[in-house]
Amino acid sequence: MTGGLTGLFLAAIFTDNIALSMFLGLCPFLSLSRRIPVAAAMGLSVTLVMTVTAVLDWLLMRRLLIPYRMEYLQFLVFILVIAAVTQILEALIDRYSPRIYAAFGVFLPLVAVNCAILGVSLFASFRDYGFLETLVYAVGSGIGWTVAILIMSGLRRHLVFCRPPEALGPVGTVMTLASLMALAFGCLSGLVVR
Amino acid sequence: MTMQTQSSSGPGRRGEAWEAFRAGIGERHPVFVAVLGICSTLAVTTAVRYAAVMAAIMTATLLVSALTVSLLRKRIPPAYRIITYLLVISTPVILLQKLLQLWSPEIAASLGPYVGLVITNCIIMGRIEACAALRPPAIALADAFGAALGYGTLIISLAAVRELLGTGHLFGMACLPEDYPSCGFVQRPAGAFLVLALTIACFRWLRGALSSEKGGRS
Repeated sequence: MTGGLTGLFLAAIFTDNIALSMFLGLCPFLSLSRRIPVAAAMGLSVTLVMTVTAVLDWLLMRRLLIPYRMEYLQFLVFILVIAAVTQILEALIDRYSPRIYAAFGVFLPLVAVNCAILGVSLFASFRDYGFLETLVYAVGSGIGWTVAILIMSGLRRHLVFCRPPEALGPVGTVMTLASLMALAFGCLSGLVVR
Repeated sequence: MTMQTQSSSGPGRRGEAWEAFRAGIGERHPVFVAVLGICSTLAVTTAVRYAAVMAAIMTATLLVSALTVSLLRKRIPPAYRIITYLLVISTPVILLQKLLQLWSPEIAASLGPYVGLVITNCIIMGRIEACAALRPPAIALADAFGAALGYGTLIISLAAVRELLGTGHLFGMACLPEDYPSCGFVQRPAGAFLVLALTIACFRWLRGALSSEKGGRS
């Protein structure tokens, strides 16, 4: 059992998993989990953007919005930061490593409208996290989301061999899988002190 | 789909608006068919109260942003459209969040960041991209209202199932016998996924049954 920053990190990955417990970033979780390489690329992009935006949002919130009593602009500022970060990262990666751009470039615009990114920044600010806590929470959430989408794409490969009830359809089947995964992730709650 | 009988679909724009509205609750239902906006759908369905508030926020945001985008549709440059839509959507959300904090601080605290997350809900962006950005205001409004109604009825019924089975309450009032063993699983995230999966299954089965019946008759 661990508390403090380690506990926060483990909770962000497992018990408070951003996809399976907070229900964030589910659209790409469902639509991009068919193939493992795609899932891994999306997971890495999400982790990267999530960490950068959460830190920037924390700085803007603490240094600009709160001192000048402009908290009501929070949503607008956070969204603009996400849009800017994805655009800049896309341009930077394209400039310095076309090879990585070829693999990840298509995912960055998708990340921009991913509710997990905005969600992590909002939760960090809602729970009044400090700088280190925000960083740890963002990295942990990104890793947690990546782990979840990787497991899901692994499970979906095995769906070829089984016949789920026809009425469930593709979405219902994935939802049932997500339910079982959420159950398993929730059972790790013994790791973390509340 | 039951509303089909009262359809007074006159020719022209009124019929078109009606079609756009009807599609939102039927064949183009935002959650079942297009699989969008699931995030907030599941997170706020532990109690009917929360789901109803969320449905109201969604409806207001969808209507306002569809109307705005539809009015501005010829002036928004295509290259910057996504960020423009995001800004248009976030304005009513900020106002609604402030109103909610005034009206009920308790519900505002329970919903937490999920109110802000309405901005990135894909239903709104989807309806704007697919309809409001291309069509005149009347049709955009009808389309948005249909999608909002489809979304609202779904999350309120999901919340009813989860609250009833999970706590034995409905709207916070006890309505099952005292000795009902509350099923904690339904209240947990895993239960949310399962209830949604079963609801999708029911919807698909029902639609399959209806369409085969229709096919048999004609």
